[in-house]
Amino acid sequence: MERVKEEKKKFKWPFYITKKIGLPKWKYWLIRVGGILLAFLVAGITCAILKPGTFGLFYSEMFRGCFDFSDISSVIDLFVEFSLLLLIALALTPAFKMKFWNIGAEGQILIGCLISAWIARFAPSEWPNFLILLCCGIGSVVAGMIWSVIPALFKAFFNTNETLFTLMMNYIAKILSALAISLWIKNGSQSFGVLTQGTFPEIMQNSGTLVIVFAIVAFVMLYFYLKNSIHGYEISVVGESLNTARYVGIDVKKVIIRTMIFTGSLMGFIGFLIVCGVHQSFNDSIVAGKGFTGVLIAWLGHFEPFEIALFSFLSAVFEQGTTTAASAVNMSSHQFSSICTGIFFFIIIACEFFSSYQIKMHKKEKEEEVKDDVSN
Amino acid sequence: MKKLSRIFLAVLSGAMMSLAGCSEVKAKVYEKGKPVKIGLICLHDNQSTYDKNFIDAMGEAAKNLGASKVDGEPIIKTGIGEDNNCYNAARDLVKQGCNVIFADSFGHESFMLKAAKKWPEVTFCHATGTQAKTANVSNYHNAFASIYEGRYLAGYAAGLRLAAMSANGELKAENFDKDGNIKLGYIGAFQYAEVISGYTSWYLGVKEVVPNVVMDVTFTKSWYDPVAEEAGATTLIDRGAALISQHADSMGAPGKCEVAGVPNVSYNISTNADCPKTYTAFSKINWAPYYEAVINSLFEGKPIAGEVNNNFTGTLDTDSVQYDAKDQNAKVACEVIKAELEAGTRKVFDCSKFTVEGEHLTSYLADVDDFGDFVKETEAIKTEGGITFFDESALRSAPYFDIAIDGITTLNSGF
Amino acid sequence: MEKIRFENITKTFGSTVANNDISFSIEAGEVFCILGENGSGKTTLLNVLAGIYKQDAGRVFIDGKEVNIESPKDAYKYKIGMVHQHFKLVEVFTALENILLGLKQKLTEKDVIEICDKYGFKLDPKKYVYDMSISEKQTLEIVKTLFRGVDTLILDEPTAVLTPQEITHLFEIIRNMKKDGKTIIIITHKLNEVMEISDRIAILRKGEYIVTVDTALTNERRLADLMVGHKTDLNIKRSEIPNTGVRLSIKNLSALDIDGNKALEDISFDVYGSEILGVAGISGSGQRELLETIAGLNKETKGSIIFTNPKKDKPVTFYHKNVNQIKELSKEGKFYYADTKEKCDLTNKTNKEITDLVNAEKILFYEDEIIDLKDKKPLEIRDLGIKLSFVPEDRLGMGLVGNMDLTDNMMLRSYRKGKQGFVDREKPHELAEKIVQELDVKTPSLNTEVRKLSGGNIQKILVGRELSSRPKILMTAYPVRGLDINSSYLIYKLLDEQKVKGTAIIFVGEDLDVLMDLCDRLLILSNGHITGIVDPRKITKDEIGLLMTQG
Repeated sequence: MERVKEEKKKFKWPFYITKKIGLPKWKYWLIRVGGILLAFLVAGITCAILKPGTFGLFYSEMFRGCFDFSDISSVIDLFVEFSLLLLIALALTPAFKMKFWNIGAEGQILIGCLISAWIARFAPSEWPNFLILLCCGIGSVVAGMIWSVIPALFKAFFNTNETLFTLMMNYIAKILSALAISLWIKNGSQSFGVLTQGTFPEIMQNSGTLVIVFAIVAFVMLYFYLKNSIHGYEISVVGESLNTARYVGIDVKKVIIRTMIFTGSLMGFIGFLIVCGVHQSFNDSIVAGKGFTGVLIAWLGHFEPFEIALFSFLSAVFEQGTTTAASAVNMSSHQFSSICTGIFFFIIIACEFFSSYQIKMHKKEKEEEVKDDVSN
Repeated sequence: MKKLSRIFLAVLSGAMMSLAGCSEVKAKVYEKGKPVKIGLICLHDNQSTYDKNFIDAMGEAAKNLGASKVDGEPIIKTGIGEDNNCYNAARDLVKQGCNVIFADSFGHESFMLKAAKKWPEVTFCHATGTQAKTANVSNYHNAFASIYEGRYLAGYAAGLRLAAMSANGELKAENFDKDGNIKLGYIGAFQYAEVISGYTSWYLGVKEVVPNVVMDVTFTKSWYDPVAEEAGATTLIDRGAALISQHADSMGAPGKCEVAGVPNVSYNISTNADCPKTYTAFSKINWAPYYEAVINSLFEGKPIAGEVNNNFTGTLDTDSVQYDAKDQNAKVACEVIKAELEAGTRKVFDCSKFTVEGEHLTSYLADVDDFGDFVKETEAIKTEGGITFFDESALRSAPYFDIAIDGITTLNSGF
Repeated sequence: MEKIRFENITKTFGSTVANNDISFSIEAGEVFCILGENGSGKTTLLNVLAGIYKQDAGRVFIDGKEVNIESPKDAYKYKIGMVHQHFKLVEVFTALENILLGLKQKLTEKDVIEICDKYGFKLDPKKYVYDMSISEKQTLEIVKTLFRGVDTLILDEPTAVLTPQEITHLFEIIRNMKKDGKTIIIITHKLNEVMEISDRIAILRKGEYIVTVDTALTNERRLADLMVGHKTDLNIKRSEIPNTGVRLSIKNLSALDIDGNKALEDISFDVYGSEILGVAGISGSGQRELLETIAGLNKETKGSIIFTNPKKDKPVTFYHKNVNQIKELSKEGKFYYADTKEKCDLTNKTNKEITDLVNAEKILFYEDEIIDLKDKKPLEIRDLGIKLSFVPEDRLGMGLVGNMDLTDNMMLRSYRKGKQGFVDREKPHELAEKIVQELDVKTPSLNTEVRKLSGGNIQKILVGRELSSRPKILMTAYPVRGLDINSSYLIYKLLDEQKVKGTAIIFVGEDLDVLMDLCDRLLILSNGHITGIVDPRKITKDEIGLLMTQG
């Protein structure tokens, strides 16, 4: 009897969490759209708390930062950011579908950046720009491929943990980049400056415009690769059930390696776009966390190209909009934009949680139970 | 999914259509005599002592110039990285009608120059940069100050404190090396001219009072990294540094020194309030005179006063270089030195006062002209009034003294 | 005296109602069976009693008092213990250590032996769990609950993994515990066992409580009808037809399992066309490895697997031979001309001539093709018409992809036939349509993800797909696992029909009664050895049970 008493004293949470099954699609999207709106609202409130009286300004500046059509270049900037996030998330998707948790996008892109920067900086100046760009592109693709195929080989042959491995490769890429800069920039200032050759041409005031074109092409190609190609089909089977893959005679090792070659090549290419197109410069943090944001986006987009596009776009709007808004209300752009992007993803992930789980209260009184019965 | 794709395509095509109707950013042409609209791009915000120094100076300059010369509040963009975001920030400032745009970080330079070429109607002024002299872009300017003189004075004040400590027997055995020299410590960001010039002048200032000093330098490889700066200070204290200074922008090192009770000389800001026990002296560049000079010249339609080859070097005379010492007696002694520096009878990098590999310098080629080639092409040793010295910050505004002199040991590579 | 009473218990998982308004009571000291097909909500209901789930609505009474059971710990408080289908034991501990786990009082080996003697358990307290047979593990689970002072014991499908002898022994123990005044609740779907052991039976169907009956006043027929909800035919048809010769000849085969342990040792047997060869054995005796080895999925093998492809007098095709291979084989005298009946040597002919001859079906096989499967890749083996449909514990584990729709699952067989790197969904779509129609698969549409279908429908799709390719050898393991009675009998019927068409079938099953009724021959595996190949018409269940534990 004493034992029973003891148990009763123990603290108990007033609620418990159960899985929600069979949420209709429209309800799910309602929750998500609600979440997105909430994220905008919370970001505005955060801004107003940090700098009182700026609630309205936050939104007008955010809009101006993204959709100021009097400045075509800034609109293109938004779409460039969108394109980069889209490309990264899409490049990750085949591997993720295969349940190969590659979180090394950051490093795979950075190593591509490094090679592009190296070639563009040291290519003979008498070479035509086009040739330099070609070399940069090829070099970056190969570099990104190497960076991703190493963990894939280890996974395929030694079954090492790909998450830790790819993460580690990020740091190696970062250190190599820092080392390269200190070797190249002999005065010790660590400042790479702007590339004088191997740069994309400016179209509509912006050297990143071509990035958008590449993203559209890649989007279409990847869409069909995932949905209708034999490779895409094999990837799905491997991801869903290793046993089934084995059973139908799919060479799982081959698929892992092939998919990571694909992912890595695209990552390297994105690095090329960032260095030669967007920034025309290089430093060891030039990828600026996009590789990790891409992982989030791919996940939130359920590896579906159109959903990924949606979240890439929203993420780009949030980043660029809040960067502009921050300076209008005298806050540090980078920090504030990071906070807002954090809010955005936090709320969207919370939406995911609440669409798969529900919180129920423990029933205390018997009367309540009866009431509940009726509602059931 | 199909529905979603249709919506997506509709949005995309809508966006593309509206893009076609867009136009580019046009800079406002400035008419002299009208209030000047000012923009400032900062790497960090005022959490960083370095950036705070610029932001405060801008406020002061705007106040001094008054509403007749300055159009509204200066627009300050903080947290702008050293990549294309700097160019984008500049573009946004141009769009908002700025007539002059300043930037505060070395790495901003290439992007500022790119923007300057894009919008020739706007004046671009970049602090600490090196390319204005060679770039030949008329609306692009560099500025710096002879901060090595300020550091020298702060070092002199610190030397006086060190001498007092020595006399009072406050120094411990670990503060001396095997040859009986007193150890100093310095935390630098990167191993390049601006930083080397800074710690060498400070060291020479201390050495002027206490001849038997040696110095360890450790680099953090970042302009702002409180953790690394504190770690650097810890290393130096563990190695027995009796006095520490830094060319790094956070409170990491001064805070650590206060805890450990090691006297500290700060940069850009007086740490007297936060570190009352150990604060010794500080030096800083006062950017307000430069800002005022630029705005006034625009307002009057004249070239920027004091500029040579698009380079502006602030001096002790113009109050661009400031210093202070906690001990008022020390301040008095320093004022004497300051007067000598102003008169030119004393030079910081007096070749007779330091040696390189045991020799006194008679000639040194420095990388003054920045073509991005890192070729050291310009003779920087000069003799004037009987003193042979390294002529710092005269050939261009940014420092170019990058010589490793005897007595200073770098603990790690700044690369 | 009433021991336990359920009142209006409802438990839902999302939109699935697992238990709907269930009320009945269990008397103290009786053996009470909960009978129902898979998915009828038996386990869910008892999990509520054991504290694994919390009911959404309804009340549970124990000894007349309403109780609130939040956790298994709570359940122990009310002296209720449950032995689950998947045992929860620490492999690297001994029996005694497992019993001691989480127990406050001190115990010695003597205490354990005492209790074992009392009820007739066979358990060595010093033995490590990893050394134990499944039956021993189950015994240990029961003993564990007894030491926690349990007087109501729930057993979830306790006989599923036992041999006939072990079942007999378990029933003895249950009777001993009943004599000791304990209440035993058994969850099962096996009618003969229910009749043998229970006092009363509650029948559940699709989450609903149907009725409670006294065992003495009912029979298997009636129970089956109550369980299924309508009249059922429980006869398995075995077409008695002559076999069509050796299809597969396995000699001295040894194989390792996935962890590198010996799974098969030196086994030899033949498989005939138009025959169902049953494979019986305790689970984990090497059944899985045997099938995987034949299918070419397991390469760590010794011995030979010879496949006799019934090609005699059939035209040569390019299906898995190219022109050069045909040339080579013709040199060895493997083919003859259809017109002249003469053996043909094609070495002097051009590739085009050969292609034309083959396409015109002018060249026939002189004899059956003999192929050593050990040289072939899994894919080649499948293409030869040797199909494996393996249904492991998780049902979807092998052969189907849960998150893909019907069409894409059909495509698993054929996706490589797409053009220019893209898949062709048209033919798989037609096949899916055909299977849905012919096998009466209940699905909202062909675009429904397979995992959303019920177990029976999933099984039909898998078996249907494999049968659609007209296999020469069909290997199937546990094809009715988790199926309702009607679907199970449909599958048996399909297999028998396939046999009549000439296919050699290897059927790994767990229900001995079914194996004995359906198969032409029965191969018994024990610990990777063959302990007998018998005619099920001439042997008793007990004799098979003995063979299952030999070796």
